[in-house]
Amino acid sequence: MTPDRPDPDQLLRSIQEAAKSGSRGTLKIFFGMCAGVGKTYTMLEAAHDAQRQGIDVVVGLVETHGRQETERLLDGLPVVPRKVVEHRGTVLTEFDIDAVLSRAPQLVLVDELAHTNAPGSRHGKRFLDVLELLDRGISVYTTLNVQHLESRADAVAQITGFPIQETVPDSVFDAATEIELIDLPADSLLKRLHEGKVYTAAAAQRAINNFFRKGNLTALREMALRLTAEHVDVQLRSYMSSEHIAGPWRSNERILVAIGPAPSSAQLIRWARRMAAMSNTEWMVAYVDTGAGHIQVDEDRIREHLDLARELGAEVQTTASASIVQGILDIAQRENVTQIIVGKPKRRTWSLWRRTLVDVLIDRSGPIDVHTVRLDGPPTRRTMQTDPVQENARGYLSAVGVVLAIVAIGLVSVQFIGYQSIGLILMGAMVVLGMFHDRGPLLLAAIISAFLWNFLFIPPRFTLFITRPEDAMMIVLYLTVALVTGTLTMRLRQRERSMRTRETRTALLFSVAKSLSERSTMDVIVRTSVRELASMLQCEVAMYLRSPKGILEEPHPSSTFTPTAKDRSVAMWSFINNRMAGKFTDTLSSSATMSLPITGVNATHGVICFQFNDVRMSAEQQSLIESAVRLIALALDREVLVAQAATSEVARRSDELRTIILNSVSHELRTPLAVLNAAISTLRDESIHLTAEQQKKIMHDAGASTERLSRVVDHLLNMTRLESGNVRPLRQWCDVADLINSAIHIAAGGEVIVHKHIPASLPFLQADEGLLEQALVNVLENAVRYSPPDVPVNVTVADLPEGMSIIVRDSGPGVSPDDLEHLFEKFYRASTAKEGGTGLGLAIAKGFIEALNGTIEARLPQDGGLEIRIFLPLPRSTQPFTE
Amino acid sequence: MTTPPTILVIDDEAPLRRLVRISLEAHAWQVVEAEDGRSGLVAAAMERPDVILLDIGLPDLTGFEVLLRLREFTATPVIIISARGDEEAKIKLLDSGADDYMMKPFSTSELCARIRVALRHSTTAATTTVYEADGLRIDLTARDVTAHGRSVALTSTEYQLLLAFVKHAGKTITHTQLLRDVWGPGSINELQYLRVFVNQLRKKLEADPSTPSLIVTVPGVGYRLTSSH
Repeated sequence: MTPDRPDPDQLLRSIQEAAKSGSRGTLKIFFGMCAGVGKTYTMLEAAHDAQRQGIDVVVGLVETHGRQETERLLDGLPVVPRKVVEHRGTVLTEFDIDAVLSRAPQLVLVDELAHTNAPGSRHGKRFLDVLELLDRGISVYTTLNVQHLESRADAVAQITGFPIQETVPDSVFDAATEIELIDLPADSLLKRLHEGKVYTAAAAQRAINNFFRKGNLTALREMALRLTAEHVDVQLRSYMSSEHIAGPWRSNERILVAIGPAPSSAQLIRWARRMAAMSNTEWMVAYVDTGAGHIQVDEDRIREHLDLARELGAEVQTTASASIVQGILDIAQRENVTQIIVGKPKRRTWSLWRRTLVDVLIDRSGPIDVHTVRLDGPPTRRTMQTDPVQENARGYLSAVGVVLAIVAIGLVSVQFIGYQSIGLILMGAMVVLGMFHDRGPLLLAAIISAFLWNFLFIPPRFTLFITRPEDAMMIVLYLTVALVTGTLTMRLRQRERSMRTRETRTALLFSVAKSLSERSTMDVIVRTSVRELASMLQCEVAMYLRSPKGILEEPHPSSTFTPTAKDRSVAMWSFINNRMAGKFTDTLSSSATMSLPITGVNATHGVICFQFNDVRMSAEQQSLIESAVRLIALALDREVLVAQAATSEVARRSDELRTIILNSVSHELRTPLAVLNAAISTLRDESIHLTAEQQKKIMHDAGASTERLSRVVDHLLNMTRLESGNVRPLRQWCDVADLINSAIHIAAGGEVIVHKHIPASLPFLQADEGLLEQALVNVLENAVRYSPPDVPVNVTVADLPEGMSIIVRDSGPGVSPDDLEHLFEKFYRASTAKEGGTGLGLAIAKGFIEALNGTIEARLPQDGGLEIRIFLPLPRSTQPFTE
Repeated sequence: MTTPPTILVIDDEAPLRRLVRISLEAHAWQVVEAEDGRSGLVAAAMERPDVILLDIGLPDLTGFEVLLRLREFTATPVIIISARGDEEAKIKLLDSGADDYMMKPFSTSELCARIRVALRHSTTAATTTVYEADGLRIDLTARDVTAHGRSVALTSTEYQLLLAFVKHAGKTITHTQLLRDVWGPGSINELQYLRVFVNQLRKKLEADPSTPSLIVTVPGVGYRLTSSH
């Protein structure tokens, strides 16, 4: 606990003092799980205590139910006589509130808060009497069973099967200044019942058979415990806030539970969850992989625990670190954890001298609180296994082999170097072996070499007698050296292994992160993810994405295997429930594949389906997968956000465009219509006398307007055709020279001179004649419109190696360089544009030319005008066909 | 020819029928109107018109269906009137027996010219031995071609092509029709043959081959030989 956190007792005392000085009485509830736990007894004891402290205590009403122990406690306490009430011929005795009020004690005892008063009493319920007393400044001690609490009545009725008639509102319970829980394990209570301490023998048996079943009692007990805990918590916090103490309850509590393979870890997780739920804080479960090998049962249990944690809503954190404490603290610091919960270790006798993990954790946790929780369940063996069996056997063999070899050499050379040298050589071998082997093989080697050295070399030889103390010391030394070096090696190895694990993991995740970071489309991300996951985990991967409708699409084409219908249903489940499912999980575990949802910020992006050949999966592997999937989710999140931004940009622009279209089209359609309308109404008006000349002019204008209108409609239709993607170019041999002629005919109509520069032997071009002609007409119309009538428009065609080029150049005013790049945009009107264009002509030309795989661009020549260059990299006829 | 030619106008648009009637009657042609495909077919059978104007956007049958049924019992020239401008539709209709094709909006004078061409085909095609138009004179019996007063020597393919044009003079002929008529059904995709020979014909017949006025290109569809007036 941090020093700035106040002691709860201190707190309660201060509350009591504050209440004493105030006008309102304090309420203390002696709270129990059911009748017979000793509430009244405890209350009377407390009353005696109060009396001894000089407080004026009276007994308002106490029901002893004929229990002698309780009745004895009434001695020495003044009792206010009960009121006698007659009801339908029955005589009842009730709490006499008026008598107590007139007596005006400091403290009054009123048993059974939930009691219903006899008809005709002042209040229908006893708790109302109590509230009145409190209002009058009289403090009250009272008793209450959990089943009488309004909010719990239903639950209790459900558990016990007995309907609850008398209830007390929770507000009364909440208003209590103090709740004292009288707790009694179910077994003890049953024992008391059997002993007749609660009811008379006959009644007791009935009660045991009905209400007081052990299961009922346990459930009620838990309920009572929890309510009390919550009450204290609420009180503490409300007090803190009312007194503006910014103390113990930090705003962002985060609880971390450290777990291991022990079965009791599950208990620990559940405990932490309750604690987190009660204080409404975030919690996480951490597992530190020390790199020490685990036996399979442990591996599985760790996974189960992590799954349980996820299920209970914890965030799961795993890390690789040689030191459990360091690993926990790393996570705690990274995640801003304020409280760490660990299981209380069961001390083994041999480890009394040794500091436990918890001790170290507490020492090094700094500002973080460390809670230890005592756990039930069988003590767990330390389940650290050094190495898989095979390697171990090799270790033993080689250690023993080395010893035997040295001994063999020793047998030959003993007469030259003396038996003590051989002892030293063996010792040296022990140290060298220590570099390679763990404790087990070393210890074996040490024992064997001690034995053999003793038996074969120490005189008297071939006996186990040791005469000299140095020799005995030597043997002890063997064992010590073997133990020490073996342990050191083991630790080094563990560290190395955990480092390596962490390194590979970091490297793998880094590679995934790197390959995802630069990608730009959903499709590429999926492809990259599938590839990276498959190579990282050495498994088959299929990926499902969420369709825009929110359902799961078919597996992505890049998937490395085709999921079966069953795999798909697993993926579906995983997607809908946003939880992992399939193999290695609790859900649909008979499936051949495992599915993980890709959980994004706003939605589940899809599901990744893994097909492993392995029989089981390590926690390490699972955490790696989860980290990778998280990365993928992030990448997809990013894409979704980018896409959303783009969509809104498109929406904005299409909105803009719609306005432009409406303006432009309405102008372009209405102007010629207005002319036509005026022409017709003029002709129809009989009061206007027109000369033949005037009539002709009006007709001419009307005709021109019709043409204009018809062109606007053509342009709109062509544009619509382009926009709807309905342009499917044919490939036929076109005579470009001929097309240019007909385009000039349509566009210029003889009003403007067009100079053609076309090679005499121009090959045919494989293109769509209709599209090409329309594009040329549009470009030419534009050129003709802006060219002064007496200056020719130039059309130059060239057959280049890569394709055919058509250049149309006018001598008009050109456009500003700013306009140049927008020239081919729909409805774009250059600042120099003449009245009467739709702003679509060049856009259509561009659309058609691009549909033909060609390019079109505008240039501003040095000497004025505008140049449109069309380039068509299309097949041309090699040689002209002749007869 | 004592009775004036009868023109059947099948169009659901009453104002258009009225305007067409005014223009056609001004040319002293007799006009029969039908407002949908079925009554149009009945009228075509009963009135035995000389030319049929057929709108393809009819309420009951598609113009294409009407055309096919008409072709089951009559060879009367059919001029299609359509608001659809795409080449595919034009080619389909022309290849299915339509004689000509007019895009809405059209001018009535253009319409009258097309009707005249059609009428000439329906009445006189069989008896024509000399074709004359725009400086071109073809004596079909003597196989003699004169352009702008000069005698022109044509190869046999060129002459075949010219004959195909003359047969449909004034009407739009699709590439397919021309290729089939001149080179046979196996060559209908050999568009480049046609291109080459049209160019050769133009060089020999046109006053200015680079701005042809006799053989006019209908982009994406085919060609048309300008008819004499």
